[in-house]
Amino acid sequence: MALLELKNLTLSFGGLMAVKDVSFTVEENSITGLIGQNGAGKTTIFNLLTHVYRPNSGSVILEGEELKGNRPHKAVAQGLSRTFQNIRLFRNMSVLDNIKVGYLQQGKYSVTEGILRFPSYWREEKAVDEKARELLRAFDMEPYADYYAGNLPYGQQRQLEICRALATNPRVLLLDEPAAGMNPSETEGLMDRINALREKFSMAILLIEHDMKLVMGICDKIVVLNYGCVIAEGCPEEIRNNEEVITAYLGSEA
Amino acid sequence: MTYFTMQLLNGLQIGSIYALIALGYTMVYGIIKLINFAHGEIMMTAAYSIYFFITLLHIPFIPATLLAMLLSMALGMLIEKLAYRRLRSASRLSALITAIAVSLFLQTGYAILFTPDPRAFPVTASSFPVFYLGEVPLSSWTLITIAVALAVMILLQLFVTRHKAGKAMLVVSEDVKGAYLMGIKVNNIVSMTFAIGSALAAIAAALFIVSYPQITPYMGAMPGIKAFIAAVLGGIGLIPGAMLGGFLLGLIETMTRAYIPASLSQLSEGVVFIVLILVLLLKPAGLLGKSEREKV
Amino acid sequence: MPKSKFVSYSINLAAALAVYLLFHFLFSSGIVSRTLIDLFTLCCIFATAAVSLNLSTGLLGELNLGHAGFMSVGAYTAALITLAAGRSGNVGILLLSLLAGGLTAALSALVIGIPVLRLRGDYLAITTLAFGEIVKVLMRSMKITGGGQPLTGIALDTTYTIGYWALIITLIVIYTLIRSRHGRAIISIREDDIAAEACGVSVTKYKLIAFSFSAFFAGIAGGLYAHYAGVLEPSFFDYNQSVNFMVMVVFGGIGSLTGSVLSAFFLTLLPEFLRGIDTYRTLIYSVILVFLMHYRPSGLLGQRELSQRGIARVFRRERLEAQPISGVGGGRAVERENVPASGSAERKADSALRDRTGTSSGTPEEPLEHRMKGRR
Repeated sequence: MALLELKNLTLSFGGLMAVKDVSFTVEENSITGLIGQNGAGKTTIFNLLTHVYRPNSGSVILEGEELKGNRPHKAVAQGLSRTFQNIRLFRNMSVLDNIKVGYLQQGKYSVTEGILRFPSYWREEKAVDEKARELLRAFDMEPYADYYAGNLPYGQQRQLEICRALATNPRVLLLDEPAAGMNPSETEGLMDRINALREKFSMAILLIEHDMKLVMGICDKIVVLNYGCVIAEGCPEEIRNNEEVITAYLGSEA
Repeated sequence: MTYFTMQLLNGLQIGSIYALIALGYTMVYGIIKLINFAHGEIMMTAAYSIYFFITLLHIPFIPATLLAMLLSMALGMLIEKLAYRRLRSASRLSALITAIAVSLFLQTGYAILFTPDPRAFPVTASSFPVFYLGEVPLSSWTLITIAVALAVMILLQLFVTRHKAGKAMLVVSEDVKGAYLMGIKVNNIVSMTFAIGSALAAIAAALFIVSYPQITPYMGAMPGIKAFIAAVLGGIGLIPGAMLGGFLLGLIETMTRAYIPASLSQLSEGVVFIVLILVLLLKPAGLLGKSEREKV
Repeated sequence: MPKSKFVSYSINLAAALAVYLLFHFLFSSGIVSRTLIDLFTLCCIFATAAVSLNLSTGLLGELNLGHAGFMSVGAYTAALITLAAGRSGNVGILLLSLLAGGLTAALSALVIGIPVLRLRGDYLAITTLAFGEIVKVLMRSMKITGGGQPLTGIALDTTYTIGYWALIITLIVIYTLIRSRHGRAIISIREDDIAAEACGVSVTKYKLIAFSFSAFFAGIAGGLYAHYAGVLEPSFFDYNQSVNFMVMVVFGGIGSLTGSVLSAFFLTLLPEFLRGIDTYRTLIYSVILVFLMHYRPSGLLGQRELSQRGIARVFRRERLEAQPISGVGGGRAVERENVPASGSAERKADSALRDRTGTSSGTPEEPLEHRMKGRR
């Protein structure tokens, strides 16, 4: 059984059909790529998965259960976490604090316990601090721990967003153009990290990307979207040779 | 019945004034997403201008109003350039606080310059003839107010749909970056928007002070807030919304005041705020608005 | 708790006690006039109001234009309770009435907040304004609150002791709230509410929490004021008063509790010592506000707080760019301007470029030290 299944998802904005009858699956421990032109509906699908939008019809099934929800923070509880196309960091908070926000839902102490500084406060804060630092270490970012997130170099900001999403302990990690704005060597580093992620945390990754080298390089499966509809779903070889995909998006190989 | 019709007309009259002021709010909000808290004060400064033109320079009412319109336009554009332009990319909080600061500045500035003592405006509604439609007394001033407001609104609507600059205004409201890329001089359009809004506020001032001939530095605050509520009621950012909201709010306010029992009379003051909260709860986009989802 | 924290907390408390004793001896010695003592008390009351406003406007990031309304609710509730109880000079009843005032204010924040806090930004600001006006109208129209007439005869029970410690308690509670996971959630909403929601922060819930706490302490400040002035008038707690407090918060630093205290004291004392300047005061404030918003939107102290480390650094004459500091429960990150962000030209251009093409204009790989220095 697939970890995540999208069934006939449809969403229209007024007269504009953003996503039409979209169905595909994401397997456990896999990296699935979601590609297509700008405006094909990729980010919209992310928004649907994380309850930013409500679909007109269709359903999302995670680990066998249909996901229902109307607030994005519920999606996190259900096991879906995402990054954003345009980086959305908490710029005036420290790098460490950014990640700690990701651990929020796993925390237990109440507002009162926090204010009165109960033992649970000290215990949990220490634990969260350690976990956050560990995450930073995995990304070679521990020296940045106390810097303001907004002061980080661009590449590190992107990484921080991924760290923050990881902190929420998702079953499926949704990455929206994580390599945007990166030079080839940074992209390679990112590729390695994403692979390492897949091994270290058992989760699936759904990846929106335009960088074909990255996509073809690490994805187990690729889903191609065009004008809101799925036009192909398969392994990189298949997709690379798919006529429709070539015309719609890839262009003939240079 | 007579009473009802009278109150209805009163409601439409004050509603016209709210509508004219609301247009300024809505156009500015539509174009730069800022609640121009100082807009009510523009109306106040226009009132003072008209007052001084008439009493000191002995200019007749209509030319005085036209001159005041010019002054208001200049003031509006100046405020935009000095206070708001640099903050277009800043946080909402900064922009709002600045708008409040400008509003305070104008209020206290005028209070210092012209003292807070109220001044009586020489031209009053009672100097206008009153007709009788059956049993209902109709002040011609009431009719003039409503007529002027409607005429102005029709002109404005034609402007934004037919004239190039007007259409550019709508475009900038939709998408600032796109407008830039299309070659539209965004700064000029924004200035123009402020100018038009301020001119309308000046007209509103002229209509207002004839019916309520007391001029103080704080006279713009309440009508300003109410006009903003009217804009929200009709649908902020939408020109027809401001018009509809203005008339509607005027009616609601007048009718409530007219029919509320004496013991609760204080509450009629608060009714506009209750309207605001209701609108924001039930249909935040306003009566004519469409709920927009922010693209993530 | 960790030993270092225990020591640190003890030092803070000792400092607060020391400051109190200092004022106490000054005041009871007779050197200081009654007027000045009263002024000090008023400063404490207004500082409490300003600090509580900082929670909703500075830390949560939602402009609250109805703060005086919460004070009003607290003031009238507390006043009515002590009036009903009859006896004056009873500290226990006063404290109870203050608590009741705070709770009533917090309740009103919940009631108005639940439907309204899902609005954002400008709309929320206007709604808080409307709330303040509605409270004013209500207080004017209800018989129990005087029905348009001032409510008189309130026991003048607020002493400088009560005022001072109320302020200290407010500071402690808000400070500990912010330095906890719930506080991080609140601040994250200010930074980017969409991202916060995507991280699992229930934005509505935390807005409610922030507003309720903010209202609670505003209510306490109101109750304190009622027993300071002895007379209550609904029009005292109007939009202008809300703006006054907003000015205090903005001047002192959005997000800086210390800043709010300092500017509250300063702005309350100033008109007393510069009598002639009174009419020009608001005018000058408005000009300063505009300048601040343009050139230093974070206010005087930005997000900085008075801290033991900060004092130590001053003594060691280290530059502020020095070591990053960490600690359990949220470290104090190295200085950065811009709250709210005002965006330097380069960053704007860069982000505009990125938005359009998804690429950046070649981010140079600068060494980290460089990145940290060029921030003013």
